[in-house]
Amino acid sequence: MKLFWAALSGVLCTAHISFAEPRVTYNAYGMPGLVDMPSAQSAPDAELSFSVSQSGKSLRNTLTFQIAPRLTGAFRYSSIERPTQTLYDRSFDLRYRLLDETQLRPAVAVGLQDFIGTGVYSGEYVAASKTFGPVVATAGIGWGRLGSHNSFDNPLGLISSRFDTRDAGFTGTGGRIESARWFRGPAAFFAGFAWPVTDKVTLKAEYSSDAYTQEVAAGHFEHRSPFNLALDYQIKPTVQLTAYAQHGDEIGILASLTSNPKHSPGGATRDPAPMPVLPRAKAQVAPAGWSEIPSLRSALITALTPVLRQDGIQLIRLSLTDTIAIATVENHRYQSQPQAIGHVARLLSNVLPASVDTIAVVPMVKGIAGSQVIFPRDALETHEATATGASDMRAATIVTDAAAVDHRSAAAEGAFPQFSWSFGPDVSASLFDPDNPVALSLGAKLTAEWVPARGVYVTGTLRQNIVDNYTSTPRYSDSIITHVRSDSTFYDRADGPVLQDLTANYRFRPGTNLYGRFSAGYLERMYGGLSAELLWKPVDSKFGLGFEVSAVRQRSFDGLGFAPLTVTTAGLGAPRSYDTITGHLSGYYAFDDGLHAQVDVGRYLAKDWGMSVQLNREFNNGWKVGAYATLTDISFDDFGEGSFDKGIVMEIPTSWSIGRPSRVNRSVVIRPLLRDGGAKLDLSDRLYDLVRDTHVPQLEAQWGRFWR
Amino acid sequence: MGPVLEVGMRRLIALGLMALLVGCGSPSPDGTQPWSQKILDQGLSLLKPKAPEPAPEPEVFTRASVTEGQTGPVILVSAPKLEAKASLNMIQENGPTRTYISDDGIALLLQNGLLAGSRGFGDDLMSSDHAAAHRAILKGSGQYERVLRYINSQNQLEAVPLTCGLTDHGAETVTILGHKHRVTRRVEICDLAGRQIENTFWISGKTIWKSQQWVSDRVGSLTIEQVR
Repeated sequence: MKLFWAALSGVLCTAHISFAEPRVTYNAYGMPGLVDMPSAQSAPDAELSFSVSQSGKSLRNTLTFQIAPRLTGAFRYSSIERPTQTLYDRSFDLRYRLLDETQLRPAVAVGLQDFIGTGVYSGEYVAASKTFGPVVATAGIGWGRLGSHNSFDNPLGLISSRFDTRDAGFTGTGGRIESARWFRGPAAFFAGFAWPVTDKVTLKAEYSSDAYTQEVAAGHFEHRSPFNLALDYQIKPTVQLTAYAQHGDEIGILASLTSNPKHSPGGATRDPAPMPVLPRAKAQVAPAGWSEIPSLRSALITALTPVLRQDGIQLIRLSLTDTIAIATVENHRYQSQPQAIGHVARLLSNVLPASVDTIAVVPMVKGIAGSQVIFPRDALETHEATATGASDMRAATIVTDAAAVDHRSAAAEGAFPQFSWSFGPDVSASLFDPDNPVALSLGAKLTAEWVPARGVYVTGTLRQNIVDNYTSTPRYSDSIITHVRSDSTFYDRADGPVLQDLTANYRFRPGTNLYGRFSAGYLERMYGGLSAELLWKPVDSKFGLGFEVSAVRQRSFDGLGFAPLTVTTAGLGAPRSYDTITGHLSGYYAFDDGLHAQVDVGRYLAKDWGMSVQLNREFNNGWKVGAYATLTDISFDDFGEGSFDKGIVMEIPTSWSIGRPSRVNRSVVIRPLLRDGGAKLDLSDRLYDLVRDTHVPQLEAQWGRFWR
Repeated sequence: MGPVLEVGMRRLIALGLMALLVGCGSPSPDGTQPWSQKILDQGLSLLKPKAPEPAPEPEVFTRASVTEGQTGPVILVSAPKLEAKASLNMIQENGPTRTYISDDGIALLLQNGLLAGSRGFGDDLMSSDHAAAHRAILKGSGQYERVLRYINSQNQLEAVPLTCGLTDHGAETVTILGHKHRVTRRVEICDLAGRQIENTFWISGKTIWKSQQWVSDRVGSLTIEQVR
């Protein structure tokens, strides 16, 4: 296992210096390349692109991510019209650039196209690309679909005769990694070039090794010529429009939008200037024992509270001695905790008597105090405006566990109870239903939160659907195991205002390095019950270990009660009852360079036992892009289409797109197929993400904002 | 944002005043201070949130309009690239660093008149080492290196090294809101990754009365004039 992680981080984190920076354009599969053929190029690191290409009777929607400088990944959802019915297909691609281009040598990449799934587009390739002035020339050899025109015997057959033949079709219910088919069967050459005619226009031509056997058989077109031609127009650096002509018989169009989590469209967020430090020499001199005067303590709290509130920071508590001040706060505005901590420290320097020589800030996230950040007051003055002020300040700062912080001192006046609510539009999407690939619902959502005391949160969400594009009859799940998730469409379609969740949570610190949570209520849209979680996470560690157990019962479609209807392919049946105990042991690890891993082992909703692995690439501005897979003791055949649960996760910080400070993130989970095996309870605010926001690795990653 | 920040600022100043008064008293054995409590209450009443007052934006900057109600140093700043102009008041002095702030939450940190940082623009200068630049400006010539630091889109500080040369361009007169100053113009030309940025200082003795200092690509150069 250790070796696996080491190898993986080696693959993902290899530094590179490319020889030249030719323009990278996307092909009709949404990968960097020519017209239909791949190239050995990679997109700029971390580039995300969404491409739509339409050519004749096939439509491809591709989400592509430059996972690491050398590694490109793509997920594609395609529709291909067939004489009897339209085929909807999900496919995944990977490309790894083995060699960088040098003066004499081309860049070389190896790629797998449609390597998980039903294999409609499956093919493998080795491609080489070399720049000649502005022109990028590519040549390569393809297998599978990419070795179907003008093919020859597989040269790998010299190594083993196993490479000579390639099985058709796919294994079982699809969705598996078809490594037994890779690089097998006949091979063929492809070649082409991309010539940037002007700053915005690129002409691409290729000799394709794809015979389009399936499309020709389905009568989409005739394969008259292996030559394809494309003209790219770069409307903006982030928008590419392409028109292409294929196989002498068809015209296609392609649009691709790109974005890069590394570069926010508006640059750094525009934050109002912070309060400057008041030097201690100018601070008030108070007589010994001042911190024991209740009226003065409460006056300080009363004065600080509104000023902090205007800065989006809530003062929960202020503990004082004559020499030490500890402010417990919750930051509701800044994505970066060090920025909020820096604001609090500076404000405190403005009001605390000169005898206070140590200032500590305890940043809380949803009632959990994860760390105590301690500064010598002098350091604040010394490093406020020096050239290396941020790193000098970090060196002078001590971060400790906050479990020992005295929470008995009086809460800031008005800190509790808190009540907040919000009301607004809400869009929910469910993807990939063959009858309705993009099912959208626009609704209104009311969310309320009541915090009667520190750590106690009662939250609820009510949603009313207003308009949707749902089909008149839903698709009845054909899952042969208990329908723990696959009936979700009936939950989406429920009439009237729906109580999506209503939960009481208590979050607390059982001891040093330990965090706890109890939850009860309607925990999520489909389940209600009780849940408990314990997390071990030292403040300066990159590793965390958690355990969670929940006793839940499946909710009714309309949200009230616990009697969902039985769903079979024949239709709806009698109400049923389902309860289970589910839980996981979870390990978390934050690698350097932003790679983040989570492994869960335990029991899933359908009483299946197994393991999930999730890998995310995380950016310091809050962006996350990752993928996960779950394997349980439910067989691939019982699982049904797709064989096992897997998906892509993305989290996009609002501050990144609006250019203003905000702690709101938008999460997107793309599951090619939502079925019943390997399904987890969808709990919000699990401990790990709340806790690590204020722990040393995360604080260090964002420390540059301390003086912001 | 401007009025909000201003209210916050006013409250803090009031709080400082209040703490000063309380700090004069001594606690009685039971910890209560009837007389200081009264002062506290008065102080606190100052801190109660008030309706934000509209910040009058003078179309024309005059010495009277920018110094009205101000006792400390004032600078007039224009940002041609952003088509903005404002007067900034010094709200804090910490060692060599003076922090000036505008009504709408823009702050400049100046050390001996040289830009040590900006806040509130977005694409801000986080810090700058300019000790060598300062020596050269006083002397009238010099070759040196300096480093500017910025926050990038990934919340990390990025150091941008500059190679600079400073030359003297002779005596001139600058007029700042009606006051004339006899100054020497000194121009710093820096190489920033293959392109040039130019900073100009109009100096008399050790005082930089006027300057044009580069902040960042998006903000461009600021013209800073010392009104008082």
